[in-house]
Amino acid sequence: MNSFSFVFTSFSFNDFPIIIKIIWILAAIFFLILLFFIVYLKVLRHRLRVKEATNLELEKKYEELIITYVFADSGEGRINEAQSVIIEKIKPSLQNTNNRKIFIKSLMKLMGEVSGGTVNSVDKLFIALGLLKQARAKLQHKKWHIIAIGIRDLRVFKIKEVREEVKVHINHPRTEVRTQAYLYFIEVFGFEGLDFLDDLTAFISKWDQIGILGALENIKQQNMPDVKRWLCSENDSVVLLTLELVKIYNIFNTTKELLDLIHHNNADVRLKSIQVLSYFFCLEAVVPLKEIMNSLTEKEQIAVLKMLENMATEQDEAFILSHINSPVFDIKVMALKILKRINHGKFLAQKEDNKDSTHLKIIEFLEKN
Amino acid sequence: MNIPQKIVIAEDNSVFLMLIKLKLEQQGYQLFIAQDGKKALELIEEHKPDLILTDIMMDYVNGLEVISHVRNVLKYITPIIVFSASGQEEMVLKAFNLGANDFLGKPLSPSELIVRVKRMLL
Repeated sequence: MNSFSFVFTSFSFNDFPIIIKIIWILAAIFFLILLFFIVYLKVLRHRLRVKEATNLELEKKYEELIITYVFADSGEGRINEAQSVIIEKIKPSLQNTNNRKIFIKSLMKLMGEVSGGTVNSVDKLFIALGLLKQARAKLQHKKWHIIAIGIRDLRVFKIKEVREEVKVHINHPRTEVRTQAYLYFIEVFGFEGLDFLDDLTAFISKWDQIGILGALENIKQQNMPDVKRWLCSENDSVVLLTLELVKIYNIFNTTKELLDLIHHNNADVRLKSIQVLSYFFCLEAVVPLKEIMNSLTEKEQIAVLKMLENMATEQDEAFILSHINSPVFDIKVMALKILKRINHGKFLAQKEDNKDSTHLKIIEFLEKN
Repeated sequence: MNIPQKIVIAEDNSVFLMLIKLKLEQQGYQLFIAQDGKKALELIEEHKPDLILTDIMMDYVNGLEVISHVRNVLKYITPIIVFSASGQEEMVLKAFNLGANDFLGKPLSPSELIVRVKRMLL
């Protein structure tokens, strides 16, 4: 006993130097913190797994109810008794936000895959469960992401009655809300929905442009509205989107507006309009473009020459000759290429007129190709 | 007594799968369902169905691999109908090259699916 107490007292904590004491205390504190986090994370993981399992079970239950509801549809265009029973069964559980989220997710899963009568049936279910009212209320919410979710729901379930309420958000400061609003108009109203461009002051990003064009591609009834007014829009991004529409849907009656756009302040608009005129093989564009050639940017000049590649005639020879000595390689190559097509003799004579090695190499290349 | 014709469906969207299963069962077909291509291949080998319905995009083994396996490995001539979403046109062409018999674009109408299935099983 004496020897044990000797060992114990000789290694007493109090006898350690102060630095060792601090290290021990810190080690103990860190150990306790670590222990706490290990226990906390274990509990958290367990809870998340339980929640996930419950959600999965609930999702399956909702899916079964939705399918039973769809299956009970008699095709009369109204909710029948069997469907009402299912609605009454689902309704109380949707008071819970999580349940509502799971239910809408299940409905959306079905909406993306089916068409025809099933869609109408699901739309009716959405309204009968009071989800339309809730989606509508989301449009007035302070938080932007709630508004975006509200518009998304209204879009997926093709609710037409909220057109004006959604229109309020087309110029929302958040791009996510604006994207949902654009898609709502197109997916619900088709080409007619493009009317939202009349009131759009916000910028349409390239990504949104792709989204809008993609959504239009899926619309079967292609009754294109008059796009001329959007080609004159003060919003340059609206003009650029419209130029894409004009090209994709071959809207030829816009030539006059396209010719006006070659004088636009925005270089991107000018470039795009030259490209569209070239695509349309618009001969009326040749003279005005030649006149303003020197005031155009390098990219635009290349676009003009690209246009002339197929459209230039002998009358354009002087104009082409004025560009064969351009310091810009692309312009030089294109001018020589056009010259080769419209006046082969003059093209070959260039070998003698200009002894510059780059010039000669381009001519030799064009001769062989 | 008539033996019901067997159909294997491979589709990863559970709610859509449930809908077409019920619709086809109502028409008197015997259904075997798979939520991925791997399970579909197991069901095809086990039950030798009269018709195969498959989505293109699936986990583990996709629809194209299912068609290729059925035609080139199992050497079955079972008719195959492919489901495809918009934007998968190239995939559909590949599916036809591999031996698919028909395709249905999503979103699809369950009634149209039944008509196509009936026509394929005539």
